[in-house]
Amino acid sequence: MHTLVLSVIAVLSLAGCGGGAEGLQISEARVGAPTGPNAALYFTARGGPDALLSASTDVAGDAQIHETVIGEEGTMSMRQVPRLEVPAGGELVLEPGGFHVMLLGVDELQVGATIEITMVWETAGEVTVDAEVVEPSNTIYDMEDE
Amino acid sequence: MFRRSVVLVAVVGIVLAACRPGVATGDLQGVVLETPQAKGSFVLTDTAGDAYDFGERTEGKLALLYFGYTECPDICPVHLAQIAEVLDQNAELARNIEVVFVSVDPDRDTFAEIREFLDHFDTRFVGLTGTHEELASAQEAVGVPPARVFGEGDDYTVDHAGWVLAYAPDGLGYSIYPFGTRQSEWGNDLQALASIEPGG
Repeated sequence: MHTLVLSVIAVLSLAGCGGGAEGLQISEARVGAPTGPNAALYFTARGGPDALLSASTDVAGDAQIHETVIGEEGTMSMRQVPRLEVPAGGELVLEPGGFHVMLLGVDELQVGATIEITMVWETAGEVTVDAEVVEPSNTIYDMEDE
Repeated sequence: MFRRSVVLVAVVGIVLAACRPGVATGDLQGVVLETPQAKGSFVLTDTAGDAYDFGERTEGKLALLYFGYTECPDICPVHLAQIAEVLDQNAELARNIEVVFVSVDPDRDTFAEIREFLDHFDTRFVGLTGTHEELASAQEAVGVPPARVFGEGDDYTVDHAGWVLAYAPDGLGYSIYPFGTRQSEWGNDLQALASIEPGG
């Protein structure tokens, strides 16, 4: 019974976090203010199983799903990946040093602005979310000191 | 946090925490080197088009050295933004530090692009690049694995060392800073390293 109540609360509290489809929820969508031709989009997705297949936005020429891989020597490599899975009951976290959606040929974006990203998910279909433009050092949530 | 552990494990092959008599490396929160490393020497070209001798220009200063490229949107901006934030809040520290970014993507990064990239963080940051041969020598001189291009055509990425090298004003490297270093750790260590004076 307790579990049921908690589940109901979890669903209620997650609703409204963004995402246009029932089931899939996107939260913490943010883009580091561009410092070069490209920028990175990060977010957290829950409500799987589902898989991110592609993304697009009017403010960039192209968007690709990327993974930053740390090699044995500590070398950082960035690789395009075809899809990202949200496991059933789990979450998919995009964050610096891991997965990101790379926005290629991105426009000038000011910190505090909001951009619209349209994602294509395997089950949820097309989902449009607003992402906030943040300082590059604020793209990381779990490295904040508070 | 998981990834941070992975980074640390990956680097443990080359480094292990240790103390050095006379220098307070115990205060450092970065990945402390088993043996302090002498500063490597190399000459590249800065964004003004002038020769830049790393050893000479950083003598007596706290020096930070990072290899990356301007099209890197993920970890490169985070490292640089974290360092810039410490300097923003500590003018005294900012006076005796040289933050050097080396573009390992000379085929795409122009001097103007490197300058523009760095100015997003701090206009005092030094931007360097060179020929592939010069860059290979520089990376060898400071003991980081050589950057490698991955992919073909214009749509390639560059694999590069993910950590920032640091040299105290006495010319020695006591610690390195892998991706995942916290803002508070940067603040602590830059202050601690700056106090390691030559001959001290």
